[in-house]
Formats: sequence, C-alpha cells, structure tokens
Amino acid sequence: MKARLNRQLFEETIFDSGALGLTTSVVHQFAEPGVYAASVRRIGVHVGVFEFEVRGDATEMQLDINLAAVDRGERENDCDCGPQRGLPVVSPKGYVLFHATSGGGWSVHVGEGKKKAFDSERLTAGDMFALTLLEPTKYRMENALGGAKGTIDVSFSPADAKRLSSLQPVIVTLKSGFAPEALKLVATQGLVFRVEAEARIVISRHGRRDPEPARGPFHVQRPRIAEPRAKKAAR
Amino acid sequence: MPNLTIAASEDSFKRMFNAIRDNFSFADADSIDFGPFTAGYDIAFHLENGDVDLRADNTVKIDELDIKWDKLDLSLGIDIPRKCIGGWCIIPSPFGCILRFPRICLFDDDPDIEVTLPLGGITSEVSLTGRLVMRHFDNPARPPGMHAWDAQDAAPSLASEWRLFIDDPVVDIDPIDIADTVGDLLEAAVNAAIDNLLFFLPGWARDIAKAILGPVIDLIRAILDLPDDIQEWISDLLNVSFGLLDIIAQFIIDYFGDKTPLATIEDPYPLLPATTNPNNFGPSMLIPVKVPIRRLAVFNTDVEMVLEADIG
Repeated sequence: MKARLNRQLFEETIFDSGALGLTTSVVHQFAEPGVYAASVRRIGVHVGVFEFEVRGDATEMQLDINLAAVDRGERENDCDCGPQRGLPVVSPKGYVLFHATSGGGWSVHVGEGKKKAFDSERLTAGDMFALTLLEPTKYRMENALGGAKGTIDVSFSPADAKRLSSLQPVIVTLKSGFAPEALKLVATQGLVFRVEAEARIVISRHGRRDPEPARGPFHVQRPRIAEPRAKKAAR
Repeated sequence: MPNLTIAASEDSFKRMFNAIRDNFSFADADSIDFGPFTAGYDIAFHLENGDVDLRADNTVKIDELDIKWDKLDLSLGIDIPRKCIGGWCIIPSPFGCILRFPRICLFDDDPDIEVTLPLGGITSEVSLTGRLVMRHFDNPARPPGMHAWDAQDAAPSLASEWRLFIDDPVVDIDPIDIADTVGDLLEAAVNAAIDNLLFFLPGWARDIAKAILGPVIDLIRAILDLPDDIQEWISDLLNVSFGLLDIIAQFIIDYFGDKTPLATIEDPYPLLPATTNPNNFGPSMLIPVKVPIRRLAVFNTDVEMVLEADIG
C-alpha cells in the first residue's frame, strides 16, 4: 500500500479562525433548539450547505462538521436520529465543532431561519478556536477585530518527542487582550482560545525557517580533451 | 571374482571431490506472509574447504565444509499503523471529556515500509557422510535400438555411463549464525526506510513526523512481536520459519547424492582408442576397443577407493 503523507500538515504557516485549515477548528454552542443551515464558504465563496438539528432531548454533546466534506457533497454525520431522517443532532448543552480535513480558507455562516446564529469570521463570547501548531518556530497572534496581540514560541526537542502523547492543551482567554500574551508550546501541543469578545484570531509564523543542511556543492566537470592543445602543438 | 579392479588413493578422491565442490552454487529467494508483516530471503552461497576422510567402515565423511554466503538478504515488509495527532480534550469534565479536537493523520492509509538486512559475509559449516555408490545412467535421449557404439559417436554423445555418487548422504548443517549487531542493523535500516518515506519533508518536519510515528524501533518491535533478542528472532526466522536449513540440506543431498557425480565412466569403456592401421592391408583406421561394463561396484577403505568391474 502506497500511503500518501498529509503534506499540508507541514506546510501551513497561517492559522486563522476565519479561514480554517487542516489543524484549526472553531467551536460554537447553539443554545436554541431548532434546525440550522450552515453555509460553507471557501475563500469567501459559498460551496455548500449543511443542515443539523439542535434538540432538547438529544444526548450528543459534540457534533463535528467537516467543511471540506460539505464541499465534496459528502455527508459524514448522517444518522437516523432526527425527525428529518439523516439530519445530525446535538444537544443545546453540547458543542458544534467546525473543521476541515483538507484544503484551507474555510468559513461557515450558520443561520436559524433568517437569524444569523454563528459566523466563524466573527467569533463571539463563548466561542472557541482550537488548533495545533507543528513547526517549531516563533509565531505572532492577533485579534484582527481588535487590538490584542501576543507571541507563541513553539519548540521541539528529542526529549519532547517522547512525551507528545501526554501533552495537555494550553488555554488562552481572549478579551481585550490575550491572557497570557506570551505562550511557550511544544510542537503538536493543543492550543485553545476561549473567546470573550468579538474576535477573529490570526496566528502567523514570525520566526525564520532554519535553513536545510547544505547538500554540498554540485560539481560539473568538462570532458577531458585527449588531443593536445594548439599552444602545446606549436612548441 | 571381478574382471577388473581399479583403486584410487585418498588424495585422488579428494581431488575428485574438490572439483565438484568448486562447481557448487546455490541461490534461492522466497517470501512468506506472516500477517502483520511479510518476510523474504534472497540468498546465494558456494562451498569452500572441507576435510575429506575415507573411513575404514566403507563410508566417506566430509567435515568442516564451509558455506560461504555470497548473499544473505533478509527483507521485512512492515505495515505501519496510521498515526494521528489531535484527539486531545478541549473541554474536560469530571465525568470525562465533553469536547475533543479532531484527529489529523499523518498518512491517508497505513504506510508500508520494506527494509532489507544484508546479513551476508558470514560462514556456516556443513558435513556429510555416506557410502559411495556407482549408478548406471541410461541416456534418456538415446533412441531405442541405437547401438551403444553409435550412441558414443553421436554429437552430442548419447552414451550411457556409470556414475559415482555419495549415496544418500547424511548432512549435518550448523544453524545460520547471525552477527549480534543485527539489532543495530535493523534499527538503522528502519530509520533509513522512514527517512525515505518522508524524504521530501524539511528536517524539522521529519523529526516531528518520526516523533508522531513513535520511536521507530519500538513500533517495529510491537508489529513484529520482537523479543529482546533480535539476533535469535532473526536466526529462528531464517532457520525455522523459512526452513532454510532443510532447503539447503536437501539441495546438498541432491547435489552430491544424485545430480553431480564425483566421476563418470563411459559404458562401453574404451580400452583402446581408434587408431591408424599400421598394417599394409585392411582399412586405414582401426576401430576403438571397447568393453561393456556389466557390473561396477565401489567401496573404500581408510586409504583408498576401489572400483570392481565385471566386463563383457
């Protein structure tokens, strides 16, 4: 079996709550029961709709919606549990997590009827932005809808490699500023922003990427000429 | 009482043995699916040395015959489980996790890696014991009714012959003794295979990917169900699971006992070759003098090999 490596994991440099990628998710709690239609967009362009139901008697506390699957016309969360067969359900006390298994630039707008219930490009109090950073380097974080700024320093050492599975996520609160403002993480460690003010959180790589080790000069040698040169011949 | 008796010294017998020993070569390759992994071998060896002893009990023993491994490659195909990151808890509670981050996998499927361990460069030993035997070989290509003399004159020869073998030898072969550095060799090979799988990633990403995959040798240990002693595990794989010892022993038995004669004697045996007629009469050439060998027996003492023939 020739398995393909998920290269996107290692290529992302900007992590934006309003433009989701492979390692970012936004979480919203839909407290009002009802059927919701989520309009999925990619780089601002509508690509599909996903419906789900928030129901008082539902026991499901988490509903994951894969925005990339909506774009592909797939329905990963179909079930027999709603009054409208095939509609996934979640409890009003539960959470809907929007993520994408491929691509980037995903956003979602959810309305109940005509009322806008959630806009991933404009997070509000109670929402969460969760992500994981892989590349060990320095990052800037900012709230694009406010003035909050901060830094993240991601490291990775041979000692860290042995404790990846035991790393606990770091929780950051965003109100008028990030608390804490400066974070130290280990690559792959979880990072959760609890949003308490209107926000669009953008994390971008700030540190320079270490150059790859030199592979040595590339030698080109002219083919040797067997015949004597004209000068020598003249002597 | 035999009509003809020929004896060959032990040294002559050794020269005959050395000649066929030097023509010996063996090569084989196979693989077996063990479920969580596949294993294969690709081997080639020849024979060297050997202490030839004609014994008083009418047997021949060849001791300390060296199996020189020209190639002894063991390949392991391993299906690495798909490894993922994420899955950590976003909202914990005393009753368990309420909300989890999705899992993101390194590969879209279980990746396969194949490592080849070059285990050659070692020497194994084999010994064989048996009685000598002469067997009559009737050339199967010879048409029915063709006279023996015409068969000898045919090109290629269709002659029958007597062949000298070691009859159904008993072969004792030492287990293939793998160097104790094989654990390091396996670890290096697996690391190289993983690097090859991730070759296009920058160094930092490769380190992280390898960390996500887990300590590689531990992972491989789990997949292969390796005991602490990798050397013994690989020896068992070669010797027992593949049955290489049986395969090699059978090939040696067939080679010396049936396929490759130590010596051959034409039947009928040319006592005098064709020659020009020295007389002033008759044909210009005299035909060869040949005697059919009705029975040819062989035995040995501790100093010589003796052939006894009944002719006519």
